[in-house]
Amino acid sequence: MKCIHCSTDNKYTERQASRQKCKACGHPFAFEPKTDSFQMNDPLFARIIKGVSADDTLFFTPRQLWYELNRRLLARKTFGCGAGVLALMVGGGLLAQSRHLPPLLMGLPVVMVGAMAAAATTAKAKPGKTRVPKMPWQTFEMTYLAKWTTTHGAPAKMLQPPAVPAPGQAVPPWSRHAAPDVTAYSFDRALVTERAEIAALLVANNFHFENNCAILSLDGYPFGNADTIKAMLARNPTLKVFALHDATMEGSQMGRTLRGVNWFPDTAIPLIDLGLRPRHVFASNLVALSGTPRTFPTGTTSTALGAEEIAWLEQGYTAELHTLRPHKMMRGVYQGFARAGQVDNAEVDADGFIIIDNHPSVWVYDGGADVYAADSFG
Amino acid sequence: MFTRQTVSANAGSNLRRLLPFRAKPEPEIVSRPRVWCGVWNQSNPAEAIRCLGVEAVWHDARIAFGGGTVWMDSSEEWVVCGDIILNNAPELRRNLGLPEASEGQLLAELIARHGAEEAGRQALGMFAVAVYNRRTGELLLLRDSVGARTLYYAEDGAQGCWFAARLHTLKRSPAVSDELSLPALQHYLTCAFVPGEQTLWKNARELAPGTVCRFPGRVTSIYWSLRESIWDDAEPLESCATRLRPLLEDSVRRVLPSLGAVGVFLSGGLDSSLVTALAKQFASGEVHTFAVHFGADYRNELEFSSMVAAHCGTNHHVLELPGTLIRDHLPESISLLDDPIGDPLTTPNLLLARAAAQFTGTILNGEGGDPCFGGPKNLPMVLHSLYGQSDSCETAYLRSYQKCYDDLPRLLLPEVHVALQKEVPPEMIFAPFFHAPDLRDYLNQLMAINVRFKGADHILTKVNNLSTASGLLAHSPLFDPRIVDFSFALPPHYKLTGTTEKVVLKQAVADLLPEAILTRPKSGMLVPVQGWFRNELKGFARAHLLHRQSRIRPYLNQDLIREWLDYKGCLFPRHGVKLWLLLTLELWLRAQE
Repeated sequence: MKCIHCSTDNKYTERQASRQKCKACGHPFAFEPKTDSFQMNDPLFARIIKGVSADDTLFFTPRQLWYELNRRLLARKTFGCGAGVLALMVGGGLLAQSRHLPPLLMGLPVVMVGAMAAAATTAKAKPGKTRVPKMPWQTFEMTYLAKWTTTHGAPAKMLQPPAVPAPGQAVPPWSRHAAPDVTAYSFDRALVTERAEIAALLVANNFHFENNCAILSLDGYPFGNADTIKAMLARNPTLKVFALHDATMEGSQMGRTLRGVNWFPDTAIPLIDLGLRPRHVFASNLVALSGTPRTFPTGTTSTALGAEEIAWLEQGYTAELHTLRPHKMMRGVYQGFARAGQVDNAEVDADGFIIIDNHPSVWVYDGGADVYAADSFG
Repeated sequence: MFTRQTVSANAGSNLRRLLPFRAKPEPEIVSRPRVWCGVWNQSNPAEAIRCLGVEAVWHDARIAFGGGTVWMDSSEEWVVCGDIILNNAPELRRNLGLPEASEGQLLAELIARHGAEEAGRQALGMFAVAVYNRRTGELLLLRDSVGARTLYYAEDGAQGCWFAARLHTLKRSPAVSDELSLPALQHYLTCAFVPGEQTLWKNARELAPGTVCRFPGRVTSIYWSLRESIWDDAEPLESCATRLRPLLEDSVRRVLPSLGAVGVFLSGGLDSSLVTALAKQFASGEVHTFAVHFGADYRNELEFSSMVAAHCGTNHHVLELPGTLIRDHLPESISLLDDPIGDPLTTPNLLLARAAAQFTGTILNGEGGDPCFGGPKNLPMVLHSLYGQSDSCETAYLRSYQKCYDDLPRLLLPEVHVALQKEVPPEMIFAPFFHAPDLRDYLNQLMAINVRFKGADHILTKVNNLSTASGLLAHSPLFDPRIVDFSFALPPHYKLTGTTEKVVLKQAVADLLPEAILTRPKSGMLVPVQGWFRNELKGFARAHLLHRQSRIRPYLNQDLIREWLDYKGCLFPRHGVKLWLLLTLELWLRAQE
C-alpha cells in the first residue's frame, strides 16, 4: 500500500513491522487492507474523496462520500462480469484466427455467451434489482470516516450538516451590513430543498451566487434570514420556484407543502419539480436505500409518479439526493433552470408541480446554453 | 424614414458593399495610427521621443511632445498635448471670453486660470492630456472623469516620465520592459480586463479617470470621485424622472454632429433604445442605427432593435456576422486594444464600427445605463450579503465576473502561483469601495465599482480603441459625469426594485419608447461564443492555444486548456467565454512582438 503523503510503497510485512506507519515518512495508515472486511486502503479512500469533490474543488456532505465509497464497492468486478469479459477476450482471439471455419464456429458462441454474462451482471436497476449500499452508513461513519479523520484529518471539503434550530428557537437575522439595505431587491428564482443540509451544500458551492437563485429549505435554512428572503421573493411577480427533493413518498408531496400559506400559495407562481424520482434511479442506476414496505397514505399519491415508481416506493425503496455527486446535482439543477425557461404550456400535476422532464435523463448534462449574454454592445 | 437592410454572409455582393474589406486569413498585426505621446525630464527629449516612433512637434530642454497637436493658454505658460473633445466648448468660449479658441486652447486656458483639478471638473467631454508648465518645468497628466480617453505613462530610473495615449506606443519606450505583470495577468483572468492603474506590462501604468498626476514625485490628486449625495427618500419617482429627462436630452444633444448623419449602435435594450430616440429627436441629419446577429443557427433579439428603429424612424442596418468572419478578424481586433479585453464583443464591435463608418463619422451607444441605473448583475452580490459565507465582499465581487477566478489554482502554473503569493490578493482592488465613507448604500458601492473599473477599463476603453481604429468618433452619452452624479443622488430603490432594474430611467423615457422595450427583461447581447468554439473557432483556438510556442504557455496550464477545448472541466457551460478570454490573451501577446 502506498503512503498518501510520500507515495512510498509499504509491503504488508513492513506495515506490520512499523505498526501501521510509513517506513519512509512515518505517517500512520488509517486502514489495513489485508484484514479489513472491505479491503479498504488509504490511497483508495483518498481517491474516493477526490472523486466526490471533483479533485478538491467542490464541497460535499458525509453521506455523499458514503455513496461514493459504495459506488466503488459495488463496481468491484463480480464473478459473472469477470467471466464474461474473459469469454469475450477468448472468443475475440478465436475470431481473429477465423480464416478457417472451425475457429469461427467456436469463437462466435463464446463471444455471445460472454456478452450475455457481462450484460447480466450490469443490468439496469428496476423494481427488485435496485443497487443498495454494501457498507452500512453506521459502519462508514463510526469506523471508516472516524479512522480517516483521526489519522489524516477531516476532508477539507466535507461539510458537516448545519445545526437546525429547535422548534420555537429564535435565530437573529444575519447580515453583512449594519443596516441591512438590500431588502428592496428580489431574485429571479428560488430553489427550495427538503432539508438544510442540501441547501447548505449548494450555498457552500456558490450555486446561489452563480445562478442568481435564493436557496431555502423546508426546515428553515438560512436560519435567521429565511423570512427576509421570502419577503424579498414576494417582490418579484415573475418569480419561478424550483423544488429539490429526495425520491421518497414525502418528497413527491413537496408541491403541496410549497403551496401552503407559509410558502407560495399564489398559483400564479410556477412551481417546478427538479427533485429525484424513482425513474431517475432506474435510468441512471443510482444507489438507493431499502426500507420497510409501506403504502402511500390515502389521497397523497402523486399523479406525476408512474405505477412502477409507486410500486418501488411502496416496496420500501428510497433515494436521497446525497446519492448524486455535488457537480452532478448542481448540473442537474442548472439544466432544470434552463429547461424551465423553454417550456410552454407545461403539464401541471395535481400537486401544483410543473413537470419538465419528459424523459428520464434530466440528470444528464447536455452542455447547456450556447450563448453568452454580454453586458455591453458599444 | 425607416429602412431596413439585411446583409447576409451568403449575399456576397451585399456583404462586399457594406464591408469593403476582405476577410483576411491571419492579419495578426495592423499598422496602428500615430498617437500623441511625449517624454519629460530626459536629456535631449527631442531626440529621445523618436524611440516612440514620432518626431517632436514641440519641445524644450526638458520635454518633447509628438504625434499630435499642441496648444497653449493665452499667456503661453501652459502647454497642452493630448486627446480633447469638449461637449461644452461653446459655453467655455463664452465664459473665458475666447470666442475663437479651439478645444485644446480652452482646456489650456482653464488650467491656467483655475488649476488642473478645476479644469477637469469644468471641462465636459472626453479628454486625456499631458500638460507642461514652461515656467516651473512641472508635468501634469490629466484624464476625464469617467475614462473615455486613455493615458499611459512609465517612469524611468532617472526620474523621467514617458507618456502616450496608447499602450502600444508607450511600450516602445526604454522605460517599459517586456516583463509581464503577474498581478495584472491574474486580474485579467478573473475580470476579462485589467482593472485600475496597472497594465499588463510591469512598468507601465494607466492614469486613473478623474485624476491629475504631477511630476516630479508622481503626486496624484482626485478631482472627481463617485460619491453619494443626500437624497430624499420621499421624493416621488415621477419627480426624479422629471429631473433626469433634461439631463439625458442634453447629454445626447451635445454629442450630435452639427452637420451630417449620426449613427447609433442599437441592441434593442433600454439604454441604446433611448439614445436612439433622443438622437432622432434632436439630430439635424439622418440617424442610422446598426444591429448585429450571428447567423440563423443562433438566437438573436433583432425583433427588439427593429421595433425601436421602426418606432423612431431611423435608417436601420442589420449586420450578419458569421463565426468564420469573427475568426478571420479576431487577431486584428485584438491587436487594436491597449490591454487585452476578453469580451466576446470586441471583434463584432470592430466589424460593426467599420460598417457604420460607411454612413457616418459619429456613433453613439447606450453604454453607461447599467453601471449608473442598476442591473441584475448586482443581485448575486445581494444574495451574498444574505448567506453566512466566509468570502469577503471583495472576493464575491471578483467571483461575480464568472470568469476564471475559481480556476486560478489549476489554470496558473505552480511557479506563477508562488510568485503571486507575495502580491496583494486580486480582490483587494475593490476593497476601498466597500469601506468608502462616501458610499453607504450597498447598491451604490457595487455601482461605483462598475463605473470605475468596468466602465473605464473595459467598456469605454474598448469603445475608444475600436471606434478610432475605424475612423469613428464614438460617444457614450449615458456616461456623462452629470448623469453619473445624478444616479448617485437617487434613492437606490429607483435604480433597482425587486428584480426591476433602471426604474427611474424607464420612467424618464416612457413616452419615447414602445412598451415592449420598457418592460422586456434584461438579457444582454447574445453572443454565441459557446457554439463558436465547437465549430468555427475550434481549430483556430487549438492551433493557437496549444501550440508549442504559444505565448501563454509559460504561465498557464495546457492540460486544463485542453479540457476546456474538449468542453470538459467546467461545472457550468462557460467554456466558450473562458476560451475567448485565453485566445484574446494569446493573440494580444503575439501582437505585441
